[in-house]
Amino acid sequence: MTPTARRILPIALLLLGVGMVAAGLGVFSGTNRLSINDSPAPPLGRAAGVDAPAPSPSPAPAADGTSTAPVSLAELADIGRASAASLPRGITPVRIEVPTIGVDADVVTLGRKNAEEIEVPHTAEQAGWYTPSRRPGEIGPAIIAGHVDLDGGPAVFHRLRELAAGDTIIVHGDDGKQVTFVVATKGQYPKDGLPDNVFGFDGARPELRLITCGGVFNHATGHYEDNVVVYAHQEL
Amino acid sequence: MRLITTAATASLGLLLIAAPASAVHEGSTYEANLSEVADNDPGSPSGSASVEVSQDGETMTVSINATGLGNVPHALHFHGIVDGDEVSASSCPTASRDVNDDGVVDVAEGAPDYGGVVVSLTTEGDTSADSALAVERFPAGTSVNYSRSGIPIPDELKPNLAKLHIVVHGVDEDGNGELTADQAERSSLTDDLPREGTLPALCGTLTATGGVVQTGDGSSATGNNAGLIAFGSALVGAGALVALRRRPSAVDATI
Repeated sequence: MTPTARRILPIALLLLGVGMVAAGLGVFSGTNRLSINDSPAPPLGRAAGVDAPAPSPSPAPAADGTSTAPVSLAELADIGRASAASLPRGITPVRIEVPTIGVDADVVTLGRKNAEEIEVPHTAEQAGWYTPSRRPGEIGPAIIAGHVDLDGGPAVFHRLRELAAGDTIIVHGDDGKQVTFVVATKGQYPKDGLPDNVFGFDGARPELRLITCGGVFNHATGHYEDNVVVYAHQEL
Repeated sequence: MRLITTAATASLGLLLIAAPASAVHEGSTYEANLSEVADNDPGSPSGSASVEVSQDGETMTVSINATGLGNVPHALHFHGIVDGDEVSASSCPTASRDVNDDGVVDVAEGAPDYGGVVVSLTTEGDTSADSALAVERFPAGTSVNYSRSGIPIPDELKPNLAKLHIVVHGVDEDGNGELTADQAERSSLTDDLPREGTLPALCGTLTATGGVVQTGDGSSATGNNAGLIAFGSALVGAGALVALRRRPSAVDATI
């Protein structure tokens, strides 16, 4: 870093933080506009944070002009907090609509069943949000699972495999807001061989994974051999 | 009155549905795959790391396996955008964070994405943010095999580990195989360290470990004709039942 750059950096960071707090970055403004259908003015991200602490580096050029005061650890944390105002907060999901396959279902919450398995909904009609995953609309993957069949017939995600790129998925929150995701792709994998990007972090935007069962039904175990996974993301 | 009761019951039902699962963080595990912070070439040919975190109430065990790094000390941190007890979900910094356009994303430039230091993954002693720059208590070298248990988890982070970032710092910018203490550019956090001592080399975002999803009982299975088999089995069963019933009556009839 050149001496000039060193002098400019704290100011640039300050401007960056203030800019984000005041207006939100263009990309996040885009998020809000595109992602919340029929939703009133409040964006997913906290309203431009008048209460968000602005970073407060106080550059003090040294006498020789080659050095500025370093950013303290407290200021580093402040810079992060200042940018939080522009991050989408997501919703706590209570309902999911997938028009292409006729899904309009309640969403319950799912934790872990045990060390190996995650919980699944108790009924055929409900879908479930895996709460250790992201809230839908937050940056990162939110996981919603549903049965392909249960109790003698087709269940909520029976037609999940029919989804194709470009189809929309609308998730409704407990606060009345909704987030719209667009299907990117889908896959079918053995249950013990899901790719890292199903549950793992992937990309820098809100992601959604819909999961159900598929493949051959194993009568010995009472379970299907595979999972069908639909990958969707919020258009930014 | 009945209407009101019904509405209240419906609301209660909605609340129950919306109630978050409790204590999901107890005994939970988390994972992250780290990749190079844009423009900050940590070494050759390319750096990467995998991280596992297991949470056991008050403390956690953290394992980091990193390769492709420069031969310099590597400060290992959990970073997070923490405000009170709320942690924001975000991603790792991209090249666009190089606001001073000097070709690297320095440790402060990345803060809008990963926030401040919340845990220092030192090899011994204190693991709080206070040890963020304790270079002598971090691993060094072109690869890192770090594992430590009993690391205290700050209270506000206990339910939020899945939103934290893991950053491996330290880049051998000049490629001389060591930390260049007298590098002209200094760390944006301290004049005591050269810039290459604190540049973020690798970054990744923790997510909760996945698991097996059992979402079907075969009652509509068609891939292996399970439905047909079930239907056929039912027919066979019914036929057998009819046969069994008919036989005695047939016997009866002959007596």
